[in-house]
Amino acid sequence: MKKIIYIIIVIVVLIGLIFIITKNKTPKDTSIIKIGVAVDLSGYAANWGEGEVKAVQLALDQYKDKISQPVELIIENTKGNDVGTVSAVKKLIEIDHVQAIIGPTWGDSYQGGMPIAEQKGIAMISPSAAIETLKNKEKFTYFFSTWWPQTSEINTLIDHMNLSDIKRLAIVNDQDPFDIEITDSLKKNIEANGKISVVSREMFPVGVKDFRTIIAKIKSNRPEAVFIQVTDTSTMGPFMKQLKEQNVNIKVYTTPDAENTDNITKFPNAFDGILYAFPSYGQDSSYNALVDRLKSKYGAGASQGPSFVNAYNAATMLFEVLKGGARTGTEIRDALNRVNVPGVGSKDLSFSPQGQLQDVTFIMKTITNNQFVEIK
Amino acid sequence: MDYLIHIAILIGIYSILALSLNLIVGYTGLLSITQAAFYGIGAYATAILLTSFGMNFFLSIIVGMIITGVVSLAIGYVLSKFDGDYFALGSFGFNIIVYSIFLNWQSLTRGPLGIPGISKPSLFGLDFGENIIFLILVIIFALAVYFTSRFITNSSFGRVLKAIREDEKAIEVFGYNTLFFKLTIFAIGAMIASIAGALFASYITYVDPTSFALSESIFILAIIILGGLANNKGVVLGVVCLVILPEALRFVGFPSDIAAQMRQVTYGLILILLMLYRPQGLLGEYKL
Amino acid sequence: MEIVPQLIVNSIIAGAIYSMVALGFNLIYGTAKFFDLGYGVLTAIGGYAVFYFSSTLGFNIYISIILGVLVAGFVGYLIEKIVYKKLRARKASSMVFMVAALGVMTTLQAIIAILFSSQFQVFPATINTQTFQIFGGVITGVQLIALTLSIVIMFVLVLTLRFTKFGKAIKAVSDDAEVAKMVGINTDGIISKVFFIGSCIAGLAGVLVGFDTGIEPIMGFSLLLKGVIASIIGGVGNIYGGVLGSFLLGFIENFGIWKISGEWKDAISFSVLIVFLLFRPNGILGKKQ
Repeated sequence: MKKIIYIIIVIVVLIGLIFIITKNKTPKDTSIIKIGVAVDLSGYAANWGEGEVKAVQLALDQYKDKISQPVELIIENTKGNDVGTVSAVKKLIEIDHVQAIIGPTWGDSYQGGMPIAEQKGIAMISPSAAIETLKNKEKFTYFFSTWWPQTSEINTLIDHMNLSDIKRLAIVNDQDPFDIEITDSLKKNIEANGKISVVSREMFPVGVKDFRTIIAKIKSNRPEAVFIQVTDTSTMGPFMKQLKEQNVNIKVYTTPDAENTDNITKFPNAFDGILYAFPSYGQDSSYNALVDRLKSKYGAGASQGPSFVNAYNAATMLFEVLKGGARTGTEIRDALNRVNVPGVGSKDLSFSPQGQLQDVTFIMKTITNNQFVEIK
Repeated sequence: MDYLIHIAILIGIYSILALSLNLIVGYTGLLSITQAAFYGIGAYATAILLTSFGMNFFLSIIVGMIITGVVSLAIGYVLSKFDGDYFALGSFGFNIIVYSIFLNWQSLTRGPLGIPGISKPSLFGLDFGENIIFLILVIIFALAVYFTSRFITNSSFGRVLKAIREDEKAIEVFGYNTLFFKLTIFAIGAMIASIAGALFASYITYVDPTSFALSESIFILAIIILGGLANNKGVVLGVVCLVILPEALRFVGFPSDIAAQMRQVTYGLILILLMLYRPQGLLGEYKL
Repeated sequence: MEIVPQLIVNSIIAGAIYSMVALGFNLIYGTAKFFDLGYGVLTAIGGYAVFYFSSTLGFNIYISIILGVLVAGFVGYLIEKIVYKKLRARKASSMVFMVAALGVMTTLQAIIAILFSSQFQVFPATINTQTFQIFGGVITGVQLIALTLSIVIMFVLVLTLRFTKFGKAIKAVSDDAEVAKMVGINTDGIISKVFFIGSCIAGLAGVLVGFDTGIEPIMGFSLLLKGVIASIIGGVGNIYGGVLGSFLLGFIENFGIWKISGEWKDAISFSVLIVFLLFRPNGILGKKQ
């Protein structure tokens, strides 16, 4: 019995290995440009990744005829963990021989792929934030991020707080790396600013949904407003709902994550009055045109995911430099440092020396009557 | 080729982990579901010592092992007061507590932000950064662990462990201090797991708490149950199966969301079917 | 100190849900004699069944709730028949049961995620949106219902166990399954029914959580862990113990968040578990064996 099992296992493993080896033997086909897309399709940020894939595809549709060679997208799932991210990036670079990578999803949570891309000289553009990595941009010359640069976002929020005469602010965030980064930045800027005092800061693990005691704690410190940063609606929704239940009628500030249809459909009226910073492309025709294309290609119910626009911009910038003739890793990187192309949310998409988008302005918006409305 | 090396490195690291747990669960019969905690302590030790103090990788392994050994003795001592199901529940609890510490002791571990930029090992000028050389390093460690494991289990010490597994009361009657044996093997298993952690940290170059949560402990347990408890060859077999499976599935091209969940369904069914029809696993000699 | 009344109310709210999970878990442990780690996933099954009936099929929300709870009960019953009964016949050790239960949890959670996606969901309608003030603390209608139900279920169980023939049979099986069988009690049948009832309670807990904060495939696991901690603190196998432990756990958690911080909540709960396992493994109300 044991022998039979042994033999079966060995055969299965051999088949698996043969599979992997033969895939590896695909010769470098230099007539096609291969672009890797390393995103989270099954982990915690799966709805981000799914939107990113669609966005890249939509960008490619615009550039298909403008690049001298056909472009093939190879999509790999980072599975929402470190090992999966490293596996995905390695496979794209070492087996598929991609010339650039768009990804990973949640660059702050999964930092294992950047060193590999850097070492192999493959440009990598993440549609989400990667504040930690970009703090060391000199060690990651091949890495860029098209997420909204956090400093402008934070300053827009602080300006509005000052305008509304907020003197006492409570801060609430979960322990996702990006959420911590952004909240730390906000706190630092506020304290440097000197006009607002942070009366309390509550942190909790990702996925907590019972905020009643945290809200009671906040209440007891009598803030005039609260800033919240959490990973998604499943956490923010209950928070807003419980705020209203406990009759805490203070202003709530947050980041662009608030503009998510889930907030309105799954927690009707809970988000009314929330104030958030948002990149100023709301009335921009380019955004509406993109959404129309999304719906016609993927159906009226197609979800965008929070990083849809950012992925579209990342892909646009990448395809623009491909159009310009850049092909090797170094050529692509250097061209990305110089690229300037209209995108969604910015008339001139270009990278600062820190590897982030420059020239993104933010506006303040709110939610009323189940609509996302700009505050003039 | 590099991708195969990557898979081989993962198999090596998980083999070390699985062998370490096998000593505790397979040979001694202690259902411990907290191995990821020791894996994590080893990983964080290497991460912190390499990034903040520039310590040599191999030295950090030794430091990591000492720290893990001490912590595991404390945890093992508390757990030794429980038996059977309560031992398992208690070990759950410790995994969650250690995870919480990784997450919240921010001044030491940088909490959820994790520790990036861990360098590859080097010794007397020899740089292990090149993947194939790192693989050789992993293989050397894995073989060392394998033979150490075999040595322990074939020795008279190992025979006492198996006796504890079969009937602890009986062997106590013979005058053996079972507590000593249980604590020792628990600590040894923990220290071996910390070696795997050190290798993991250096390879991925980034550690954060999410790699060391309860689900990882359950995964390692599933590996040794599948491969066969108390059989070291079986354990390696289990590792190969459960590590290659998701990678091979990458190539089959399921829609990714379904693929990840199908993998979970497979793990779950493997556990259920094994318990129903072959509780000793594929090659094991010990039925839970 | 105006925060304290709200904290007390919050603790009671949390305790109410935990006690339902603990009640079912304890019932199963009492008769089947193992820690059913797969119990938690039944809360998700209850929640998703209600979601399916009310959202996809468009049924009335109250009918959906009843159907959802029954579906959860039925699934629990099936698992017992397919998996645990066979293990019992083989006299498998309790560790085998635990591993099998882990397998059940992993499989069912993944199946839910395949069928409904791993994104969280909310129910299309709600049953009560009022809020009430109790002794200075705010509680919503749904939470009040949860609290009432948990107390009612506890009493129903206690009365059933003490005064009905069915209840006495359950007690007999709990005390000694072999003897019960010899006396002619259909132990397998009793255990199946216990699984059904226990799973219904789990499903109900899942539904109530769903109304409060939504459902997601992995919701069962942390609820299960809370139920386990509560059972052990209060006294494993003891109906009152499970409920007592649950409310105690609710208090410990919420006062822990207040005095220490939200980040350490899990570590605190599990440290309490370990302390109890060390010094009073039978819990506050457990019988000394």
